[in-house]
Formats: sequence, structure tokens, C-alpha cells
Amino acid sequence: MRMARYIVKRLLYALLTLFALVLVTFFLMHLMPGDPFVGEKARAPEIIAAAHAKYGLDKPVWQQFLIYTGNILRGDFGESLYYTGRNVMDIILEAFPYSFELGLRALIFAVTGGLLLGVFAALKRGTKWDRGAMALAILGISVPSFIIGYLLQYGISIRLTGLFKEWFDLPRSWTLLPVAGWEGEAHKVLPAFALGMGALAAISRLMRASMIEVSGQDYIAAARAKGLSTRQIVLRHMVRNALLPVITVLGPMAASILTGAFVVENIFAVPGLGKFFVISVQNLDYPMITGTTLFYGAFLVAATTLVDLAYGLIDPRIRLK
Amino acid sequence: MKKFVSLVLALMLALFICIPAWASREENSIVYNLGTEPPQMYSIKVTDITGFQLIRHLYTGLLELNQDDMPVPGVAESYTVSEDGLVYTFKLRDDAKWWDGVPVTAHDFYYAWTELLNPQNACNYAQMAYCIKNAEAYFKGQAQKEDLGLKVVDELTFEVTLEYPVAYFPYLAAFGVFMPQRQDVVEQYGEAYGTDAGKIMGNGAYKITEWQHEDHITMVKNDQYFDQDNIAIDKLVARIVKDNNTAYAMFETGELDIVNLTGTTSLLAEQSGYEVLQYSDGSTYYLQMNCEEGPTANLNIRKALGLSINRESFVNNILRDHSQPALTFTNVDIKDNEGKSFSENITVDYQDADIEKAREYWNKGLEELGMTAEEAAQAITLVADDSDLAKEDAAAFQEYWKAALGVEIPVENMPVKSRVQRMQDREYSVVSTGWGPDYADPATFLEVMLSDSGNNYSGWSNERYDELVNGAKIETDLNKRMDMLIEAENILISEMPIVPLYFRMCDYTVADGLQGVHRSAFQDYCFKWASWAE
Amino acid sequence: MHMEPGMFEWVGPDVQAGQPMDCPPISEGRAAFKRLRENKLAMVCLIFLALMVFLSVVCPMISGYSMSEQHQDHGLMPMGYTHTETVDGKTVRHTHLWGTDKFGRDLFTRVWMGARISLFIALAAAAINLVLGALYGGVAGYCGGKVDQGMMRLLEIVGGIPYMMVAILLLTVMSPGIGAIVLAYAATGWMSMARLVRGQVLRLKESEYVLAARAMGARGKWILFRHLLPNCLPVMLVNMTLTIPDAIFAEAFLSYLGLGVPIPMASWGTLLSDGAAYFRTSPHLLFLPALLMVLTMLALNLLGDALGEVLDPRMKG
Repeated sequence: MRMARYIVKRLLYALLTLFALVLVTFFLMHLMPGDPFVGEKARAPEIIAAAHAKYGLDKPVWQQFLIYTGNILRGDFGESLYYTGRNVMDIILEAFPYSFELGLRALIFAVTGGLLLGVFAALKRGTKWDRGAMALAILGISVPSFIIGYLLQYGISIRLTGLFKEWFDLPRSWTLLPVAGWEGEAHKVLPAFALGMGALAAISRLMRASMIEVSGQDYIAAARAKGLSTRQIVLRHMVRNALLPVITVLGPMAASILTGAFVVENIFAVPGLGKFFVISVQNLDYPMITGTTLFYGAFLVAATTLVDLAYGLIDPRIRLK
Repeated sequence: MKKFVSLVLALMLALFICIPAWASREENSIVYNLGTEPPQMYSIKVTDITGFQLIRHLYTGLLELNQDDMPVPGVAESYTVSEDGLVYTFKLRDDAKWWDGVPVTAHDFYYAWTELLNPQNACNYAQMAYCIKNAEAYFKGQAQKEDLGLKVVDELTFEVTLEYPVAYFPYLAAFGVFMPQRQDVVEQYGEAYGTDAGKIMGNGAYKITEWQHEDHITMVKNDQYFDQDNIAIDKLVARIVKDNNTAYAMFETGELDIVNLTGTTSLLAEQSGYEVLQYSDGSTYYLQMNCEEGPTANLNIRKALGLSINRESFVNNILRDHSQPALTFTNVDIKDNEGKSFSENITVDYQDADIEKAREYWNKGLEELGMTAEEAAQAITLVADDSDLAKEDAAAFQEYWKAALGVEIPVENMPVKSRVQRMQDREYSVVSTGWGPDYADPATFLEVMLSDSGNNYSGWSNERYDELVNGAKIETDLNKRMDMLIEAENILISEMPIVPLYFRMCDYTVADGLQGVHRSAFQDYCFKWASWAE
Repeated sequence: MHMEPGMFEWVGPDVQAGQPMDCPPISEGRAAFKRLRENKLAMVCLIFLALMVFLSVVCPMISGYSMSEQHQDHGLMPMGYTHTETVDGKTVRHTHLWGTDKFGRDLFTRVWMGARISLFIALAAAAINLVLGALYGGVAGYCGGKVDQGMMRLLEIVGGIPYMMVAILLLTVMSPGIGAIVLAYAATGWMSMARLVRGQVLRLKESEYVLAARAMGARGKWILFRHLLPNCLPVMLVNMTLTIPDAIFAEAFLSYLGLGVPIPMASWGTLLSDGAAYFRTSPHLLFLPALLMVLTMLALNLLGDALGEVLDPRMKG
């Protein structure tokens, strides 16, 4: 019962958050210089005026805002100013699954890899294994994803593929892992890897630090004194408690992976939402900008809510209020 | 623990190291790169280059361009022109069909052309049709649709009456916004027409079968096309890859068959031994100066800035393609009456990178303005796009000025829409921009700089120039007309509201065995004559 | 042995033993610094970072080239390139230690100039993040209840806008520059720190020593600043070492999207994104800035780890 009330309360707050989000984005976006309907070749003023009237841009910004929020409440996200004739929500729902899949793959890769590496390093603390794992992690943090992306494309898709082709006399269109695109499983490996690498490194470092901190706690000593096996101690006590700080960053991390995908989507030519957002900002496609921000915002709020719930489940000391 | 670790490791491996793709490509297909996606493809509303490129595959107009970019019969098997050059009568062929087999008739052209001029559609390219009788009045709401000089004589005869004789009208009849449209299909989808593969109807060599937004567009040969026997390529896949390096890598691995080369990728292509091909896209890149406000309103300052630029070095070291240094506005590929390059007739009284003279002009200009060099430099801003290439260009210009004039001129990079706004509001001193021709005549360039032209963002106005260019519009004596245009450009070059930089050549390369790909200023990417060698 | 009161006599206070400890009481910070000085690796990292800062200030001054100076006739030259030309009958010779970029700009100068700018951006952003995040998260976590709820709600409101989007929007509104990038990053970067600190504080405030401190009458401010936040330091520092590369990367990503420092300035971000385009023909354009950046990150991270251990004795191996 308390849980249900908690969730309802969170939902209400979430709505408030989203409203503020629309407010900020809306006014920020109207501060951007330029007009969505001007182009490289001059357009007659009457054409621009007609377009403004059609999309309601001739009204004062605050009026536009009220109309926009009203439309959102009715589930109408408006029509894109750039992709004329297409509904913003349709565009988002078409593009988001690509971003989501890429993000999810990167996140799964980062979380499993990061946790394993972190736990492993913590258990082997002080040995060359630890140092090796952490060196790898630091390297992962130190190289931006677009560099990783380019190197992967070059090393695997071009050089290695080239070598294979030479050795086995394969046809021109054969590739080990394709350079770019988003069609089959093979296309998804490199982008997920490039995108997840940084998060993997970050998680592994955080997990290691957290594990080491936990291992100094009294209850671990108590557990050891109770005669529990190392395996039980590690899995049941250490990992579970050490996960705590890791989980706090997971929500924002998921969001940053999703939005960080802008760059990776660009390199690997993934038709995801990041690309649409960048294009919409450049073209001052107002409904698209607010639409995508709102969509991402809602996603982020949902993620943090889930994290908070998980937090409460894992650490009973934190009371839901 | 060990077991657990190895289990998860195995799972991860399974997730991320997948079976290599044995991408099998269909025979007789071409995969190429569009770079950017056309926002929509309703021909009358298309404004972007990639949009027109696709329109060329999907539609055939009354006329079409041949391999020499000359208009030849398309859907119209022949046409006649009245003696005064005002009435064009097109006779349509009877075997032209839409993708669904419905015959193409004069009604389809009538519908598309009237919709182009329909003020409710607010088409950006409506102005191109102003040469049609009463078109401007109709577009501005001062005439009725019936008053337009368009007439369906019978199912297969279409008559166009012009406001004034236009020598290049046949080019227009082949241009993207003048393609036919099917009223029933357009009305069925309304606003959404032309936004998806299933929501468009065409009559061209190819029909669109798949449109995955911002990823790729697939087109297959149209089995209803009247000239299908002469089309060798069965399928076109237009990918949308923005990053040049990615596109080049895809070409290397065979994921693309044609790739554009710029800067680093042209170096790579040369090193890898690919044959680098090029075509002129007909455009001139130039710096536009604000002649209304700020230091650039002073002619000497403009000249100083213009003469400081080292075009030769810029083209060879910064662009690193086959573009040519430009000292005239009209592109070198635009011909005069005698068939030689129009730009050869122009008197240019300065040389490329004339640093000495630039300094003289600069000092003279500063004196006239009563400013110190520092003050003037701070009052000048170079406004440019925010793409990587535009930034590189701007960095080079900035340094030319620094080396020649000893001052650092601030640069502001911004998205296109913001840049155009700044140009409109005259909140700039120098802007780096380009102009591509709509038709092969000097007027397409020179009309830009008319006082009342919407594209003249410099605020420059010269009575004699306006008189000459406007006069040339109606002058019927072709030699006289050409002389007028030459005089006009001479004025333009000496007054320097614009500083020509280079005539663009686009470098590209194609996969071994692919031949007959046509690329030119007026038909970038035409695959009608393309085929794979056996 | 049987004892009787008579066996003991009053000798008076032992002045010697009653003296305070023979060493002056040392503050926590000083003790930590002492421990840090004993950590060789940490000192190496500190010295390296100091050297980086020093070189980034000095190198562009002594290189003999300016950041924007172009020699377009010898662009994209390899490391150690020497150029001789005759100007007005005199032979002019100059050397590009680390080669040149496409414009013929001296890479040595640009990389160190980039170091200067990137380090400044990162440090400014990290400092803002640390202060804002610790204060915000600490207060929220400690006060709990309504205050916590309210503050977290506000955090969510600000954090609801995904970082990249804010940065892109902000930088499109403002003209891109160092200040704008720091601001764009600081506007959102502190939030993960705040969340982390809040989480730690929530957990720590239930622990025995806080209870003890409270029982002894310590007030909220004291507990927060003397007990809770110092105990969060290890996690905060680990997080901060992640923040610095984050800030540098954010700059790099923004550069990649065309919103980096304005030309003709250079930062590691712009150098990397430009170099990435040329790395197949001129690999040094990518690898030199990348190497410096990776080494700096390495030093920062190792130092962060060492700091964590030094500041939290429980973590001592």
C-alpha cells in the first residue's frame, strides 16, 4: 500500500518535472537565432508569413507555449517543420527503437562487463590482475567513443576484412563486421562496443572502489567469523552492498548512453533519435526539438524512478517516505 | 565464482561477437550515398539538392536532360514554339505510365503546375514559374487559376503560354518542380504525400519501394516505364551517411559503390590508387560583404579583404580537390554566345593574393574611416556555417587576413538558419557562402545581386547594374544581351560586394566495373546510362 | 597478593605523563597529505600533472609559433619536419617538432595550447561540480524528509533535460566559447555528484558514529561537514576523477558536433576530432594529442585512487 502511494506520488512529480522541462526547452529554443523557414535561397516574405501562420508561429511565444502544452495534453505533438507532413510523435516512435536498441546493447555490455571487471579487480586487489584490469578501465575512460569508433571501423572493418579478403579470396561486398548501417546483427556489434566502452570502464572503477569499501565493513568480518564461504560472502554480502553506489549512477548513465549515442550514431550511420535531434536543432524544427527533449526527459524520469525503487529494495536502511 | 564468471563471459561473447555478415548484394544494383535525407519528396515542394536528385530517378518531366545536359523529349515526344516564343505546345507520348499503370496525361502536368503556383501551398520554387502568363499574379492572389497560361488541349496535348519569351524554358520543363503529379493520389494522402515509400506516386525510371528515414531509400526499376529497355541498373539504394570518413570506409569495404571525396578522403583515395573523378557542380563560392554597415561598407576595406585571399593555396592545400580559383562571380562553366566561357570576358583588375595592394587599400580604407587597424578588425566579423569544412575554410581566411593585414578578424560559426538570419538582418560584415546555377546562363548568377533581389544580402545597390541585368531579361538581341551582362559583371567585380573564391569541382570515385554514372551541375547522379561491366 | 589501602600513597600528578602527546595534534587533512606523500605512485602522478600544467603554459610560449600561424605550403607534414625556404634572398629555416596539420600549423604549439584550454575547462567544470554537488547532495541527504524530496524533485527537473541536449541548445543560443562550454557542462554535470553524495549521506547518517556524534550534542552543520561529507570523500573523489575526463570528453563530443571552442583556438577535443579525420594519412595528428590526453587521464585516475585510499584509512590495503 505504501509502495502504491509512493509510486503515485512519484508519477505526479514526474509530470511536474516534464512540465518544467517543456517550459525550459521551449523558451531556450525560441532564443535561438534564426527562422525555421529561411533557406539558402531567398524565399518571398509572403511565403514565410504563410508558413508562420500555418504553424502558429506568428503568435507571441507565451501563447505558442500555452497552445503547445494544451496540444501535448491531448497527445498531439504537432507536425515537424522540417520533415513537413510528418507527425513528430511518428518520427520519434520510428527512430527511437534504433537508439533504444543501441543504448540497451551498450548498457548490457557495460553493466555486465563493468561489474565483472570491478569485482574481479577488487578480489584480486593489489595483484597484477587488478592493475591490468584497472589499466584497461582507465584506457576505456580516456579514449572518447568517436575515437574508439573510428579505430574499430579501421582496424576491424577495413584492415581485418581486407586481410581476410586477401587470404581467402572473398567477394568485394564481403565484410567481417560492416563499417556502418543498422541492418543485421553484425552491424550492431561495433557501435554497441564503442558506445558502451566508456560506461563499462566507469562502472568497473566504481564497483571496485565500492567493493573495497564494503570489504572493510564490520559485517563482512562478522560474516567471515560466522564461517561463511568466500563465495557466499562475496555474492551475498559484498556484491549486494557494493552495488549501491553503482546503482545510483545507473539511471543517469543510461540516459547519458542514450544521448551520448549522438556521436556514435553519426559515425556508424544509425538512424536513431540522436541524429534527428541534432538535425532538428540545426533546422530550428521547434516541435521536433521539444518533442525529442520531452521524450528523452520522460525516459530519464522513468529510469531514475526505477533506480530509486531498486535502491529501496536493495538497501532496506533507506526508508521510502 | 569461476563458473559464474565464465557463464556471463560466454553470454557476453554470444551477444556481441556475432556471426560475420555474408552480405550478398543483388546483381545490377548501385548503392550510393545521399549524405542528407530530403525532408519530403512532393516534387512541387522540394527545395534541397538531394530531393531533386531523387525526383530525377522517380519522375520524368515533359522534357529531360541528356548526357550533355541538353533538354530532350521526355514524356512529351515533341513540342512546338510559336514564332514570338510565347506559346509552347507539348505533344505527350501515349505510352508514358505511372507506377501503377495509369497513363500520364496533360491533366497531370496541369495539376502539378497549378499546385506549384497555388498560394496555399506556399512553394519556395514558385518563383521559377513566374515566366508563365499570370503566374505571379495568381501566386500573389491577384488572378484566378483559370487566368494562368496553362491549357489542357486534349489528353495528350499541353499548351503553355508565357508572360515574356524565355530562352531557357525547355530547361525549366525538365526541372524537378515541373514534374507531373497525380491529383487522386496527392489528395488521398494530403499533407503526408511524399513523406513515405507508400505515399508517393511517380512516373520515372525507378519507383520507390522502401524509405527508412535517415537510413536508406530503396528504388527498383519501374516496370511501367516507357524507356525501360535502356535502363541497365535494376535497383538503387540511396544510403544516408553524413560522416565523410564513414562513407569512404564503406566504399572501401564495398558497402557503397560511389563515394564523394573531400580533403582527407581524396588523399586516401589517391594513395589507394582509386581513379579520382570529378565534375563541376556549377557553383561559385564567394565572400559576401555587408555594404550597408560597418567597415566593409568602405570599398577600400572590401578590396583589402578580397585581395588578401590566396585562392591558389586555398584550393590546393585546404580544399585539396580539383576546384578552381575564381576571380569572377559567374561560374567558369557558363558559356557566352560564342560558346566560350563567360568569365573570360570579364576584366579583373587584380590578381590572386595581391598582398601589397591589399595593404595599400587597407591603409587607405582605415584613413577614410578614421579607424585604427585594431578597431576596424574588431568591427568586422566573418560569419560562416558550423560544418567542419566551413570551419576549416574560415580558419584559412582568418589567417590570410592576419598575414596580410596584421589583424585577427573574429569568426562566428553557426547553423545555416542562423547564418541566413544574420545575413537578412545585416548583422555581419563578411559571410562565406556559395551560389549554384538554376539554369545555364550568366543571368542565374547576376540576378542574385540586383538591388531588389532577396538573395542580395550585401545591401549593395548600383543603378547601372540593375538597369543592365533587368534590361537583359527582355533584350531579344542575344549579342547585345550578352554585352549587357558582361558590363554588369565588370561593375560587380570592381565594386566588390562579393569576393569570388573558387568554382567548385566535386571529386568522387566509383567502384571498379561501374560505368556510365552521370554527374553534372544540372544532373547530379543520373543512373540512366549506368551499368556494371561484365 | 593481598592489597591494603596503606600500601598506596599519593604522589601528586605526574606532570610528565600528563603532558599532551609529544607531537602536536595533526588535522585530518595534514595527516592525509602526509600519507599521500608516502605514496610514491600518487606523487609521481601529482608531479606529472604539475608538469603538464607547467608545459601547457610554457611550451606555446617557447615554440616560436603561434596557435593560428599557418604555413599552407607544408601542411600535413610528419614529426620532425624541417622546412627551408628563401625569402628575400635570406634562407629561413624552421622546424616543426611534432609536424603540422592540414593548414601547416605547428602541432606542438597547438597540442600544448589545447592542453591549456582543455585542462582549464576540465578543472573549472570539475570544481563547480564538486562544490555544487557536495553541498546539494549533502544537504538533501542529511535533512531528509520534505527538504530531500523537494531538492531531489528540483534535481530531477534540471536533470530531466538530457545533458547533450542542454549543451547543444545552450551552445546554439550562446556563441560557443570556453566560458559557454564550462557553463553548459556545469549546468548539468553536478547532478550525478549530488545524487551520489546524497546516497552516501543517507546511508552514513544511520551509522553509529553519527549517532554518537549526535548523542554528544553535535549540531547538523557540524555532523554534515565534519562527519558525513569527509566520509563521502572517497566516493566523491572517485567520481571526480570520472568527472574530469567527462568534462574533457563533453568538450570533445561538442567539438565533434561542431560546438567546440571557436577557431582558431584548439582544445584536445577539437584536435582529436580533427585528427580522427586524418588519422589514416597523418596518424600523428590523432596520436599525439590522444597520448597526452590518455596520460593525463591516467595520472588523474591513479591520483584519484591514491587520494581515496589516503583519505579513508579503512580502505588501506
